[in-house]
Amino acid sequence: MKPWLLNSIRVLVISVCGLHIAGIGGNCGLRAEDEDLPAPAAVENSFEIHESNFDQWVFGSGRTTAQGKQRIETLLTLNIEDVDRTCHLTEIQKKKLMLAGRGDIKRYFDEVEAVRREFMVVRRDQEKFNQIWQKIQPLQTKLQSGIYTDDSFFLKTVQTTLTSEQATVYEAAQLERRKSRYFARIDHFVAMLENSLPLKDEQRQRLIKLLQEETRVPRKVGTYDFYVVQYQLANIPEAKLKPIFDKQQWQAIQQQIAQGRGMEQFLRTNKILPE
Amino acid sequence: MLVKLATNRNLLTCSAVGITLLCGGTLSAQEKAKVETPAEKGAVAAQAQANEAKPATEKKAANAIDPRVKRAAAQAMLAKKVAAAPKEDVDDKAPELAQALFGAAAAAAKQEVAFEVGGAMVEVNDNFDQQFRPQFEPLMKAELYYVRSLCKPDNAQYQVLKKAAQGALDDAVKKYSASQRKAQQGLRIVNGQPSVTFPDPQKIIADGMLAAVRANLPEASVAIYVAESEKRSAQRKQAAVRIMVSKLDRDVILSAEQRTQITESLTQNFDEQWSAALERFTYGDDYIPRPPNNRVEQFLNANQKAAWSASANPNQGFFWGWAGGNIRLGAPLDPDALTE
Repeated sequence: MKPWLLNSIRVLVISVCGLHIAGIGGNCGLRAEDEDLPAPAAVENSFEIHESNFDQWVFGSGRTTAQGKQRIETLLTLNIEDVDRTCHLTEIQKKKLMLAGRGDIKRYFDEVEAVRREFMVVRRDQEKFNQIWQKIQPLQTKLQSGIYTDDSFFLKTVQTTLTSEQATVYEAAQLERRKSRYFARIDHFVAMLENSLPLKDEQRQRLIKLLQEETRVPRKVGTYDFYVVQYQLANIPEAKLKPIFDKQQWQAIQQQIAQGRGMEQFLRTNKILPE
Repeated sequence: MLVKLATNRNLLTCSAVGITLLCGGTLSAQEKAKVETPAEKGAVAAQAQANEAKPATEKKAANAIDPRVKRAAAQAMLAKKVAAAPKEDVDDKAPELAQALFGAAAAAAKQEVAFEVGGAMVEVNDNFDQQFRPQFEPLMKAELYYVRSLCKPDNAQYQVLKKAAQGALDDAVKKYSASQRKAQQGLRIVNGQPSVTFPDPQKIIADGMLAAVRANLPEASVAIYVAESEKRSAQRKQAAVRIMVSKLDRDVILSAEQRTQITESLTQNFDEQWSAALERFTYGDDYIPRPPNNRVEQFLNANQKAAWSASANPNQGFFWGWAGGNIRLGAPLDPDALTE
């Protein structure tokens, strides 16, 4: 199962069923197709996604736009504090970063509002609605990965505002952060792998070490880290990977390798892979 | 005499809570009022549960009518007939009527059905067995493979272990189903924690196997299995803590020192539920358990505390059903095919 498909289908199916619970969905309603079953009451045949769902998809379950905005603004403050903690910023540097971060917030919410406008148009059109999800998902991913990363004004300003000494310290701290997040996913991946392919501790430690040393830490850490690990596992040279496993395990892990390779296009398209 | 079809009531609770939580949506009173008849209630609820139980690939067909929906409708209609029957008929024929309901609906569908007959609740097998057994069976096979590869039992011993593995699987299904049933009867999220806890099926199966290993294999084999199992548990624990700290780091931007402090705090005060939830971590931040405030706040500054508080999601950590069914990495190794 492709990760994006899994998540998208899950959210959409559940949401659509939510609509049916609300009695406003059409196709999940009951129809007496079998002769031996009693015909239940007909359900109104109309499709409609409530507008509140948009916020929840973008900002997370149970959240509104206002809450999402407040959270992003707080994160800007925390990001500046973080740079300051490691680099001891001047007041001018702080102001520049604040300004850049506000630019990112505006840009992000401009994108959100543009997609929201499209959503409002298609939320009663089941066919067109399926397409809007393709636009909602990147907003969600961007929020989870952090809007002050990648090509953000904030990050560009960090790069142009810090002195070379500050930049060195900052880069090292950020790498350490990304590493800790990525290594957590390596641990998670190995634990999940063991649900079907249990390892002896010696094998487990070798595999974790190999993944830590032979794969690259992604620039962007987020929802799909798990699949980044799987993809990178598939690209470890066989000569290094194979000795860890016994014959049957090695056969079984071929499936992981194939799945991992299959992730490449998705991960590249979404600029998730390490550079 | 009351003959009650508990399925619809319970499943409605499940769906109203579960779906509202999962999609984050809220149902207005007007929208709720549109779900009127027992048949509709049972049907939409069963559909929701069926969708949740299905592998994601099959969810493409979300709009198709699931047989369980039809069966739920059938059950509701039968219950209605019974309820409409003269009281004396129901009293006189309670066993037969109950049997009819069992036969027409439960036996066909194995839905969750509980009838109150003469004051006693009569239960039949529910659909949780069908839902969870195929999901947990690979865990059992993997564990049996693990035991066989580590302990190298002879053939007679292996046959005993194999039987024990089936028992452990039954136990896992039974215990997980019990939690699921409890959740359907009313699940709340309190301080970010679900009011019903779900056991770790992997742990139940491993515990079952450990008991069988202890009873049937020599001490040296037991020692190997125990040592390896403990190391594996430690790795799952470490994975859970690290992922939780990663999530926290995204929420409040921790310093390296804070990451270390909170990692230590969570490790020392570890809750088994966290590693039981590992399978759902893949679904996104909302499915990662939120650590208790008293294990985190003491290490945060004022702004981080505010952000931490604002990041609380009333629905965080909740997953309807077992998440591992959708993200299992490959088919389990076949213990029967294990070669030296």
